[in-house]
Amino acid sequence: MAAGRNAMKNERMRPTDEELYRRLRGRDKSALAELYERHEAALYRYALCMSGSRSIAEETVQEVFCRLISGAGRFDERRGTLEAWLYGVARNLVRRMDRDGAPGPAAEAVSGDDLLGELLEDERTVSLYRALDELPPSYREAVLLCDLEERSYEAAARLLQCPVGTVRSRLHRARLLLSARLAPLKNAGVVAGARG
Amino acid sequence: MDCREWISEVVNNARAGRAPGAALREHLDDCPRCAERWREERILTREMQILADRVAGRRSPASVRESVERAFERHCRIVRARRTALVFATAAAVVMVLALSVVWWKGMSPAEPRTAAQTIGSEFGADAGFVPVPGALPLAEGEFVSVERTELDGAALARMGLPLRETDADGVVADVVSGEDGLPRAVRLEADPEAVD
Repeated sequence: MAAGRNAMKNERMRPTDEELYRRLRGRDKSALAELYERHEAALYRYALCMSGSRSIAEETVQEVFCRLISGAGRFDERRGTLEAWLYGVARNLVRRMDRDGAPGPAAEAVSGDDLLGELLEDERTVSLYRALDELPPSYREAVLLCDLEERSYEAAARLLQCPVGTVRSRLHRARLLLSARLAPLKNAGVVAGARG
Repeated sequence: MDCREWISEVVNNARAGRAPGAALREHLDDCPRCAERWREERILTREMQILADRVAGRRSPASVRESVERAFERHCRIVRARRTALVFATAAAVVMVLALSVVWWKGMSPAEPRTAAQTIGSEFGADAGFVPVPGALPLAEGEFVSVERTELDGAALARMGLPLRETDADGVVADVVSGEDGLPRAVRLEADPEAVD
């Protein structure tokens, strides 16, 4: 009980992303460290799942924070949260790198340097990952945020800067497509074991 | 509720790992399509959970963090350098404005009034017997002057502010130095004939 109260108190005392951003603008290194701790992993996973490439994901994370530091494409509090801004930058970077032909999963898979390579031991997961990779990016984003990152529709909508209903419908369609793509594998016994 | 609305319930329940409520269960019993979707959604949720577990906890390597920190240090150095340059530039601008203000102020301050006496050369000065006309405009630098011998009456001498002698009432011969504008600057009266005599 006391621990819960302390956690709530800590949460209230925790500076918001926007406060940290203001401190970062004042060249406070600890604010950068805190923002990095809060968002780096999720941004990395987002870029990794969206691109399927570890090198693109690493480059994306680095570039997102470099832009945050330099103030390029400056974040404006009135237009949304800092987290949404970070995801927006990451999304654009992944798209650009994909378009510019950065080394993709296929190239990296040879050296085992991609997410797929790491999942190859688990056939079921590979099938799902491949199906996920074939989804349109907006559907993939919805699955990634709502199912893999377990964010609520509202939180995902804030990050994607679109209505909640749009996220819900994208997720439902994405799941329908995923089920449809996994069905032949299931029937062939590839996606086995977890049926119930 | 139609199937489209039930599907939303199906997805939400499957994602949350909840058992279907009584109404949904009843619909699933009656609708094979929705029942199939329910099964698929449950499977997909489980598969998704496995993938989520495999992906969770993944982070970028430490080298990325180091690069970001280096970028931050570099940015701070650039900002510091820019600020220093700005301070110097501002200080230089202030000094320049002050200097220009002083020069301007000096240029605008009224010069000491100069008289014709100060500008007429020694050739037409007191040593040569010329008396400057009081209040006459000074000669400009390099201005040509002319010397004319003329006869001035007492009134003219008085107008020029020159001292009158008793003998001057009827007129006196004088050399008048005039500027290019024709205005008199200095006068030399001919010596008093009585004094000469």
